[in-house]
Amino acid sequence: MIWNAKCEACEYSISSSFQMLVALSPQSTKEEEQMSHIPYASAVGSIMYAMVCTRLDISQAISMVSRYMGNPGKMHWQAVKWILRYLRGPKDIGLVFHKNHNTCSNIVGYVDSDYTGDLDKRISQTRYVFMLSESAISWKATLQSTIALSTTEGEYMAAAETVKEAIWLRSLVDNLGLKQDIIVVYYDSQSAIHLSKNQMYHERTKHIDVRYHFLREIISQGNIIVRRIGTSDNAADMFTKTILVSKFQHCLDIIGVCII
Amino acid sequence: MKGYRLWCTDLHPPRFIISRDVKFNESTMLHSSKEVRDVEKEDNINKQVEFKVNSSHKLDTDTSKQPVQEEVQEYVDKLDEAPLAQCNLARDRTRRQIKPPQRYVQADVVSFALSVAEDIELQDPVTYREAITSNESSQWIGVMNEELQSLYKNRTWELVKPLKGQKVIGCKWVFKKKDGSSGVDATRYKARLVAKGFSQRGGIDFNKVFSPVVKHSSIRVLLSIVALFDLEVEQLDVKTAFLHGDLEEQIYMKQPEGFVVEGKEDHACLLKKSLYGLKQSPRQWYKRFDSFMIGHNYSRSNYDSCVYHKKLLDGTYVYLVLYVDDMVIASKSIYEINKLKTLLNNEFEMKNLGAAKKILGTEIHRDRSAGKLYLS
Repeated sequence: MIWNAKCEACEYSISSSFQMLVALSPQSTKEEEQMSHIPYASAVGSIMYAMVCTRLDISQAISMVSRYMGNPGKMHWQAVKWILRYLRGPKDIGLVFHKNHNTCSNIVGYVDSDYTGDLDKRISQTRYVFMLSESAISWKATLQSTIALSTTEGEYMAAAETVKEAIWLRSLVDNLGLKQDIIVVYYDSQSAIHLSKNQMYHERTKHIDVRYHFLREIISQGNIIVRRIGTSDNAADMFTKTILVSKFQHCLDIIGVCII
Repeated sequence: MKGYRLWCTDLHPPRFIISRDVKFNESTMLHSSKEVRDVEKEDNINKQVEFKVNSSHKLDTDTSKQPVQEEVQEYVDKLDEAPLAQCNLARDRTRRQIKPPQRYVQADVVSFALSVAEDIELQDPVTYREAITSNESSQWIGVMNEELQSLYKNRTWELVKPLKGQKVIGCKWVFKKKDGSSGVDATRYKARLVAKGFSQRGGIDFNKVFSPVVKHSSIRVLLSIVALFDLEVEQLDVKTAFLHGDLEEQIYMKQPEGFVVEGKEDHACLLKKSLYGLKQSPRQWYKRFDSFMIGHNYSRSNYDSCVYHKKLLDGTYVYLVLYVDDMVIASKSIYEINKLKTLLNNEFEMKNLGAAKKILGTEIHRDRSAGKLYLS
């Protein structure tokens, strides 16, 4: 997510001036009456279709506004309009698929998580993007199903979620006749990587559920490996936090999104 | 205070001025066909508040200079009679003639009604009754006959006498008029018979309704492979896809409205093939297509049931992605694509859309010389 409070041209998917909270939902019946005239759900739904098709740059913004689908407030509607303005800007953005120029045709993934990113329920967020020959093929920005007690746990859960998708993509691409070696998932969290490799028992990790130890099993098989990457080069960062426009552009370059 | 806002054409440039001291030259005003009213102005801008009596005095003296009009003259006469002190311009002036606004005159109402009627004419009929009573009834009956012919040809149903207590679902005609492309083609009329699927009961009239569709990720993976190996991509569309599915459940449907077979009024249609509107139609169509593809040695991907592929002898693949009735075929050789197309065309009625341009609202542009494929 790109934060910028005053942006005329709407270069960013969502602005920091939108603090998304349940508290911003209508409090009185009069406000509810006002909001009932606004096609919030259908607007979000329409933008979501664009996101599902090609506009992964707005997936974080969509993830934020769609949490309040049940009872949207004025601020939430402002945020939706912001996204629409952003989409109107450089609207010819799209994915680009390249011909093989000796780069590996392996699937590469990027993961990131945002610890307690949801201000209402304190649920952490998972974001990942997968690329095949330098163009994005699969992405997601979603809240985790359970609340993480530490950053490490949140990141660990995100990694597990991503590895699940990696397994599916790997099988699909294999199935279509494009043989895959080891799938590399890049992650900027050192602690989660260590935890996935080292089965050390620790006071602070003992509550982490078996479900996420699934990650360990997969990694020990060696088909998918999690590798560390600097935060500045993590493409999934684009969906996560306050970054500058230059970083946003850099991330878009990594995942093969460009102006057509 | 009362005043007038005037559009003054005499001034350069023409502009609005505000004045209390105004005299209307109604002779030109009434007979002028123009919207702009000719207004005689005496004073440019009169900011000073004057007594009404004073202004009427002025009016009195000035009228002699103006082309005197009947009504004004009357008014002036009246003024002469009444004591000046009691005179009130607003109260004592003669009433103006009331005329209905131009836009509400009779002729306009008629033309408005006609244009509305035209709009109603252009709409598609909603029911069978509307269709046969409309002006275009001959066209509608024609296309309904066509639809029925194709249904008979397809052996969609058999006429049987339903058992007592057997649930018989209804059906309905749906009419659609399609404008031809910019006057080149004539308007096309379409009629389709749909079953009223909402009266079907789960477990009796239908069991499973899920029909898989392709995942967006799979389409992107395919397009990525297309760009990687520089494959050919072609797009196809199945005509009346749902009518191809075979029905497993026994479903009785009323005979289509207006086409009840004489002497068999109490009979119902026992459906053999799926029809638009039935709950299980999409699933049945998918099953039919699936078995067709498997029958032609294509293998379905275990990871996305709408992706089919076949390995050729030279090690390349033919891919097919299905989204209800839209499909995209990709292969290295155009020959293989055409082979598959002919196969499909023999089995189902297909519409060939040529090189893939647009799938699920996403546009595809290719720049093959640069080896790039854009998706937006």
